[in-house]
Amino acid sequence: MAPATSTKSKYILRKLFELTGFLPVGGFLLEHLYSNFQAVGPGGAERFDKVVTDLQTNPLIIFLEIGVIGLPLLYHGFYGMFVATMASRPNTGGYGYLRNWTYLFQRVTGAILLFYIGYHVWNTRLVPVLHPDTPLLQSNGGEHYVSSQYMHEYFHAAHFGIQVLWIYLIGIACAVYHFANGLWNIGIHWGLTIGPKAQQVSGLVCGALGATLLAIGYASLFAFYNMGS
Amino acid sequence: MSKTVALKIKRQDSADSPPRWEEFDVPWEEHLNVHAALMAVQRNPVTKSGQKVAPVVWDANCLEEVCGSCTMNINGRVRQACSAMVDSLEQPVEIRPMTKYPLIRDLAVDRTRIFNDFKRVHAWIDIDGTHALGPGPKYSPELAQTRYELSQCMACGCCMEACPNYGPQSSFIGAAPISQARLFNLHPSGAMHCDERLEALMDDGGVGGCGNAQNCVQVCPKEIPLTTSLAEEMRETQKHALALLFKR
Ligand code: SF4
Ligand code: SF4
Ligand code: FES
Repeated sequence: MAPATSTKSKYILRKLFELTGFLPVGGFLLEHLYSNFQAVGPGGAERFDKVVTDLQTNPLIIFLEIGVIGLPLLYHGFYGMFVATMASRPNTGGYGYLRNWTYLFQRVTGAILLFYIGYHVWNTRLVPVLHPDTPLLQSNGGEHYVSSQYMHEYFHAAHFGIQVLWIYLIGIACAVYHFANGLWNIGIHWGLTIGPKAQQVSGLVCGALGATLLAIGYASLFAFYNMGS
Repeated sequence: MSKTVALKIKRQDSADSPPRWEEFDVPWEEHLNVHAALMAVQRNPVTKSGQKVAPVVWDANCLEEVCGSCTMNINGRVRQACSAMVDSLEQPVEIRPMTKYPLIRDLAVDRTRIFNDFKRVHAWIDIDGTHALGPGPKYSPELAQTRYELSQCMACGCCMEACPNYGPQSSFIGAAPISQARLFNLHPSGAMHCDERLEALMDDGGVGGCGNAQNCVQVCPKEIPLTTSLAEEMRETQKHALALLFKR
């Protein structure tokens, strides 16, 4: 019996959703946390500015940003909205198990991230391009990018009545949680962690990974925030 | 005054009439279960405030937790009325119908969807033929043990009722049909239709619909290792998909 093509293509769309979350998007999150962490410690401001210039003058950067980060991220976000439509009203009240909560948080953080990432990309990537006269940007050959000074001021500013520092405290936590818990989910969806014991161990590993990434993200955030003080 | 049991029941005359709550006090008995308490209401359908009402409607059949028909929400948790012992429950015992299936009346719901989804995953073994097929293939006691656990599913719907990804809003077929696909794929004769089952699981509403909330395994009255079945079938469908991709 030949399966309908639509069956296979729907399955592929789902697998693509899992894959984009893992590799381009998840992989970029790691690279991003790593690059930003350069701002930590003595000489951090200069080190960070250099990392930004190096990345932004990379001749492949525009292809990487659009093809490897932008499009997969958009796909993951759009498919994620479809996944969210499958959910019923949260039932953690009656069934308050850990995994029911982690399931719920995966959806809540996903929804927050749609807004947070849009906001973050606007202020740190698009503003320098569209408004090159914004103060404190660094420039190279006519192109403008963020600098550690810009980030410092930015985190002290307030947007929508909230200090930007707080927006990032929440956004980073959501991104890291969504990634770490997503990894745990992928372990199951890819048939790697099958039994309850294996899933418990992978839960601990993903939890530890998430906590580490959160510490790295927050350290960078506060490095910018406290810069020069 | 003799001891009584307080019940609080969510009632609804039909799918589109407004719901209401009614309270009843029924005589306590030793080893009283919710099914028997509902029978007491049926014998004397008078509410706590003395109002005579229509008897409460619910489904039941085996009375020993093997048919699944008396499944309902008892104190916020989906389970079988016939095995819910009143003495172990907080009172008033709050009883609601299942929420994920079309309501018929009071506590009775239409669970046809479960059976349709069992059909969708080909949850049976084809043994009919026009000639004698001979004895079936032998298989190991270990496999028999694994299959026995899965075979206890009574299609009660608890795993689906508790699943946050299952319901009228979603095409997801839920844990039980997926576990049944595994049960029949593990059987040497059933395995002849393995691809058909896997492709049903790859379709809309198949394994991709699971969000790993794992409530299913927590609520299954038969303690079926549902999350293991889910992960096994995720692996099998993926293997099948890769084979389709690379072997053509
Ligand atoms: S693991 Fe969660 S989402 Fe998946 S079937 Fe079970 S309850 Fe539903
Ligand atoms: S798997 Fe368990 S909870 Fe689900 S329908 Fe079967 S017996 Fe009921
Ligand atoms: S009547 Fe069969 S399970 Fe309760």
